[in-house]
Amino acid sequence: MLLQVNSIDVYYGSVQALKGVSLEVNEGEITSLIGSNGAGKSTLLKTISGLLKPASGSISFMGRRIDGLPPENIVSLGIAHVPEGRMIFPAFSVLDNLRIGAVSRFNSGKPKKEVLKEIEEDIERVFSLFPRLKERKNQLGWSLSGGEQQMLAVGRGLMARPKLLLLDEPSLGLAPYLVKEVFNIIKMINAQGTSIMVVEQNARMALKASHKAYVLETGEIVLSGPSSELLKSDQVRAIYLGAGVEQR
Amino acid sequence: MGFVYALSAMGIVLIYRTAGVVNFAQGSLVMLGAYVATSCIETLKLPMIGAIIAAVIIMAGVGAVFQRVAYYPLRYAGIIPVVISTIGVSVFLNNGVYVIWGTYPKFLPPIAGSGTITIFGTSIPLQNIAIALMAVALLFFQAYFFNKTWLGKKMQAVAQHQDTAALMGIKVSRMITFTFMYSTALAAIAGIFAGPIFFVSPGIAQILSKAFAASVVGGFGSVPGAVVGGIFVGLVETFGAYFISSAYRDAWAFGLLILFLLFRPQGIFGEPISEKV
Ligand SMILES: Nc1ncnc2c1ncn2[C@@H]1O[C@H](COP(=O)(O)OP(=O)(O)OP(=O)(O)O)[C@@H](O)[C@H]1O
Ligand SMILES: [Mg+2]
Repeated sequence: MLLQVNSIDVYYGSVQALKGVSLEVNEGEITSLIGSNGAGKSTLLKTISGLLKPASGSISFMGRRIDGLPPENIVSLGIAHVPEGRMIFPAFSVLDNLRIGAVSRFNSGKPKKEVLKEIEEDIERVFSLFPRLKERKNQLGWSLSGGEQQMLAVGRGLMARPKLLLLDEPSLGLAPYLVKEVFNIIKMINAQGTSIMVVEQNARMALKASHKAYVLETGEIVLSGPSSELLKSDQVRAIYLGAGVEQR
Repeated sequence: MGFVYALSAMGIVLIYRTAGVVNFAQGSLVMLGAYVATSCIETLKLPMIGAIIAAVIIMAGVGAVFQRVAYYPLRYAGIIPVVISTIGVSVFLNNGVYVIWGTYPKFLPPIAGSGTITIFGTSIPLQNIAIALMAVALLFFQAYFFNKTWLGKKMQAVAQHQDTAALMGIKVSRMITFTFMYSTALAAIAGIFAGPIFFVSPGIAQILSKAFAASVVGGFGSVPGAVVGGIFVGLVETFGAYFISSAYRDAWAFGLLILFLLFRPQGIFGEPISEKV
């Protein structure tokens, strides 16, 4: 098992956002986490990547406790978090956004020159996944379209060479054909060996693309299982698949 | 003079962008820089260039301490407590210098001596040429540092999105410390230039208000804006004093500030970034 979250409680001040949440991510798989607005999905990802600390419970990555570590150490261990809303660095070019995504790799102990060479190779790899970014490589972050920003955010996450990629609502605000494209790329990245945990409100897309899924409601996991089974479950169909109508 | 304002304004803007804090002690740090440079020359008997380097390094260290004392303990407390604490530091410094350096103003010689050079029949003080050269060199250094080095880019990343920078693997608090150190080093250079113009006394700390005027005129939060704003404020002040009346020297700069606040509050470089994101 790659990641194990063990009954964590997370608070914002006195408000509890996560209540005894447990989940597991298997190596080589896509795991999805679905739930409606304010369920606590982003909170869970932020806690895994170290931006928030759980008040109780534990998180282990590859058998090692990571709760309590600062985010910069967690990314060095191999978890890259692509935050909600893309959070592209607006004043950086596409290339600089990608390069800054790789800074954690200077902690790997490899000689700096070698890391620099690898970074340039990985930029090419990202460009082969997202050819649109290559055409705009010198354009500044703020001037990209929403879809391009999302691609850049995913590409920047990949620059850390993560073992586990956390994606927070990659389809948010994208046109339907782009949503499909983003999910195809997610599957491609997974096929190349990166495990993925994806948070989505677009439950249908997420369930179709993933191996395993969890449903989060007001801070608690209420359902989990193989995605194909959740896709058939009446409860999920009624609430998240809106009887055949796409959510949003 | 414009360059002194520009340097002070740049320090304010860099800290504001990186730590989200308005540093009211910047003027006092400029003053302290001038005092430190004076001591490097008088007490340590360093030659001018050595004194400049020593003052810049010492002040960068002061910046680290300042950050640790005035900002770090209050970093989650919101903007007002930190602003108050920087005001506190400023009051402490403005009075504290009397204890170390006495109440008499000190004299800091111009870095290029007091000679002049005659070009096309106009005599120009060497000091002005030195300031201009130094200004250009510093701007080139800064452009290189922030755009081409990894450290500079990490500092810029923190200035844009702190949490996201942390997710990339950047040690945010360390970058904030470096920004404070860099801004105080800029203050030291500003102080070294301001010293010969004023005398070295707490009066220098009043540069703060001109530096704020410069940052607002340039567009608060914009680094190029701080430079242009500083030079602009310096020019308006000089020309206002020359052509209209020198008795109201300060009034011209603040008149400019008020005009900008009324008609173009976003300054010359109204940030396209903040509008877009
Ligand atoms: N910084 C914060 N301070 C206080 N409360 C917060 C904060 N961030 C989130 N919350 C609250 O915690 C709960 C979970 O928020 P979270 O952002 O994790 O939800 P989400 O499932 O990601 O929702 P969405 O689909 O809208 O992104 C919400 O009730 C929210 O109001
Ligand atoms: Mg969310």
